[in-house]
Amino acid sequence: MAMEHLRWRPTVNERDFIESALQSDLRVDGRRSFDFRRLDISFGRGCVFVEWVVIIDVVAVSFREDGSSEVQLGETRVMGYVTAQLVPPYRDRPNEGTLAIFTEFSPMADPAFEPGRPGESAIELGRVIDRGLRESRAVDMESLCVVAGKYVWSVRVDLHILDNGGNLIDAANIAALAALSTFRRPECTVGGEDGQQVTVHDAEVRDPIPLTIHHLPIAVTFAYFGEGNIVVVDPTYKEEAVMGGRMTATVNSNGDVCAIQKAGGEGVMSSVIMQCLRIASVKAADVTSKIRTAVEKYATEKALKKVKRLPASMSQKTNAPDVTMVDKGDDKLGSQSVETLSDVQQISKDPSVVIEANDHEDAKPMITESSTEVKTTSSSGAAVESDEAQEIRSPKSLKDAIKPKHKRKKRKDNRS
Amino acid sequence: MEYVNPLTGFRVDGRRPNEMRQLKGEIGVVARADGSALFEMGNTRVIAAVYGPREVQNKGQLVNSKEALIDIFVQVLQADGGTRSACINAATLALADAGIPMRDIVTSCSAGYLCSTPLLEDSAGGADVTVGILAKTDKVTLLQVLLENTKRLECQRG
Repeated sequence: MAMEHLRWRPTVNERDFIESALQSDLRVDGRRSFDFRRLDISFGRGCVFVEWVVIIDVVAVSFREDGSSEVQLGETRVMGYVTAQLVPPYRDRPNEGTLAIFTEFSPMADPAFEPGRPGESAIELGRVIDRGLRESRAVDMESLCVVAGKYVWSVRVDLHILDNGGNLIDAANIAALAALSTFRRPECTVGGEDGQQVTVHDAEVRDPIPLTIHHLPIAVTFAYFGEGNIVVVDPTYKEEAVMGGRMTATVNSNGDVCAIQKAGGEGVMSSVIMQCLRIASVKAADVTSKIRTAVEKYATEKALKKVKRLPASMSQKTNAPDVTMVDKGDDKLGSQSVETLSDVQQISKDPSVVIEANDHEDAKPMITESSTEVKTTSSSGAAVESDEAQEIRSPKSLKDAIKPKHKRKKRKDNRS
Repeated sequence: MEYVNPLTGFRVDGRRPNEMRQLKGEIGVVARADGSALFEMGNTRVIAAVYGPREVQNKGQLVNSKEALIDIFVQVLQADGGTRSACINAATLALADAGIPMRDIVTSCSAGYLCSTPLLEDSAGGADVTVGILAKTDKVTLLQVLLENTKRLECQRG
């Protein structure tokens, strides 16, 4: 009850205005009935990660960037981020990983959200998304198994509502899908004497692995007005306050229905529901292509970044230890100890990493000054770089390296 | 495992695919409540009690003072599939028993979809749909579709 106090209620005039406009097929924000609002998807911009830059390391950020998305649907903003950790599996599913969805409704987004306790809408949103994703088997769970019965990856999706402009379910669902599509977990190998020792490789040693996603279940929400005969897609905050009922259909781009949720509200003719499902499958194809394009764009950008030489702090990290979990024979998982092993052998096997490490030693004095210089030298080969580095070896290295100034000085000297 | 016998066309419990379990409704089972009902669908048994309408106790400043509250308590006594539907039906029955004016009667039923056969009221898992229908106007008020595994329903077919 307390939650309802702060929820915005339309005045009688506003309600009448919205409803009578809908009667003549007009929406208050100028959209047509079956238009989505503008959808923007961006990646790796979570504010959480800004702290990581300062405190931990740039490497941590480059890894953490994966699996974080921010979706803006009209005025609604949702941030999603995915994390994974090794856990023992459920007893009845020893060779399957787990996927869990957590929602965070901050009062900042809408004063109707109470801090702490999840409200009714938070629970419904979590369940609708969870159902659409998990029960339609969108994410392959068996590929998340490391050692059957011992270690599986537990994938956690956190959805933070940043601004409530209506239709949180669709926005949060897109955020979850986008984050899952870019998420990559560290690679791990099984070895050791008993074949049960799991080695988790650092992102710099072995490329992290993306999740296997079979299809993208897209949630499309419809709002019903009047006696259930006026239907609009993607309702805004104001429309949600006026609507008589709501239905969320989770559909993928193949036209398969994954889940439908219509909990109470105004009754709707079954023919209208069938019409909604057909519209939903068209919208789902639309949104799927938007997500795919955004993910591809992000992937290309990242790949281009990778070509450039790594900054100093990154190449230092190539000696990052892998985390090895040693199972001490007995089945108690609590007794496991975590050891760190330096992965020197693996690094020497990989020539590219070795070069980077050498470069780093030579070029460090140059790199520490500014990151832009790193980018300019990046395209040149290793040999050129070492030449440059040797030039720089002299104590006044940096100032001398910048030729234009040098020349200018000389010119000035000549003039004077 | 086969859920419908290909020879006889019966399910494991002797029903045809589109046959419901035995329904049984009883009103006035909770003496102190304003309205109550016991609803059975086969072995699923649900009891519902309705109290009210009553005055809202802790009124917020925004809550309309004319608003009243109806309490509905539902308890599943025995669960054998279709509990959600049974709860809705029991609640409707109890509300009617309490004499609360209603625009329509809400009824509910569930169906499954196994091995490309639609099965009314199955508890075998797999794809599952629960509907709540307003009986007089024939409108859908509740609709929950759940597709487990990779079973797919084409929306054209419904």
